[in-house]
Amino acid sequence: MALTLAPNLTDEVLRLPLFAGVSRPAVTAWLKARKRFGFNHGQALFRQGDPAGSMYIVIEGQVLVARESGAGEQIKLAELGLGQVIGELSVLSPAARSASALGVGRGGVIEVSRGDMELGLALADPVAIAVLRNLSLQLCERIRATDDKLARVHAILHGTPPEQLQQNLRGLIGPDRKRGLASWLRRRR
Amino acid sequence: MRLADTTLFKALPPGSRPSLLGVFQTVELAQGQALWRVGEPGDSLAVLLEGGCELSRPSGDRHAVLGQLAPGALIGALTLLSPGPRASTLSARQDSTLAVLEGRAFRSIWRTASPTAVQLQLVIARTLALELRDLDAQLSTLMDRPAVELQDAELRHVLRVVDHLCEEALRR
Repeated sequence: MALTLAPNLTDEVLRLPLFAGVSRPAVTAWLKARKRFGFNHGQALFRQGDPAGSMYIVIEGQVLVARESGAGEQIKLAELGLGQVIGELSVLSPAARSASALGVGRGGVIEVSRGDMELGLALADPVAIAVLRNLSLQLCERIRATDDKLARVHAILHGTPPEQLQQNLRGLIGPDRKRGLASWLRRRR
Repeated sequence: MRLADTTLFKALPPGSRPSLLGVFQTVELAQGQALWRVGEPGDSLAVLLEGGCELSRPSGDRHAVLGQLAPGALIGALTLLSPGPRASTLSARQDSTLAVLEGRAFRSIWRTASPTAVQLQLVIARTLALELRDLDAQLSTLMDRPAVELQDAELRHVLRVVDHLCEEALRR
């Protein structure tokens, strides 16, 4: 399949916080220079558990990001279209993929490997430098948000007497969720 | 441990290391002394060179230790890139030596867009990526589910319960 870059790809990519502060000509040239490949319906760009070494930008069609639960059930996490990015943390550090990315219909992606990123940075490519800067700032936000969630979940686990907790939960959630949450609390205390 | 022997410095281009060494300030902490406390405005990164430190923060009526640090540890990278309140207190478990990079110095290096600036930012970003993965793993353990499966709506629900409980507790 011949993969061409959609005329509005640069516009879509420039909307992403990851590319904030980059000039339009620089992004267009950068996108053109990247390795691209096509996929068919159901084909995996990567699978859950694979070692992660690249991020992808969708240039045609759609990509489903899904995870297989312990029970073998597929949990859909996101469906990404033109100009959207998958696996951006992979360009910073290796880790196993936490989910699979599968083609929805035929389509294509641009691949940016950790090596591409490091080469770009070594050559002082303004797009690579901006992506690094923006990715770092996104990481700061995500760390703060996750840290806040953790602190608050800790509060529920350690800061309230169990009987008070149960009493309050009763009024706040429906019977099914209440059972789930109550057993979760019992296990975690 | 010398600053030049830390992972941070080994990742930098060799030619740029000597100039960067001078940008760090050496700080000595006596046992029990804190370099910064939770909630204080943060705008610097520290590298532990000698001794041992710990990160802690209040949790209810306790003081929870979040982690113990050995020489080579990089602490506070987040506030260097995005200044804000410290999420934890950094204090010395024993007499310790740290090298501190102030945000102002870091930003003046970054503005040069030199290979040193870019590599320094890359090392910091990698540290942050590991920190995020570690926090995700902690959240997964607490919630009994992989972090990637935790929908924000679900967490928000649990957190609303938490808020409600806190208000109740305050009224009591």
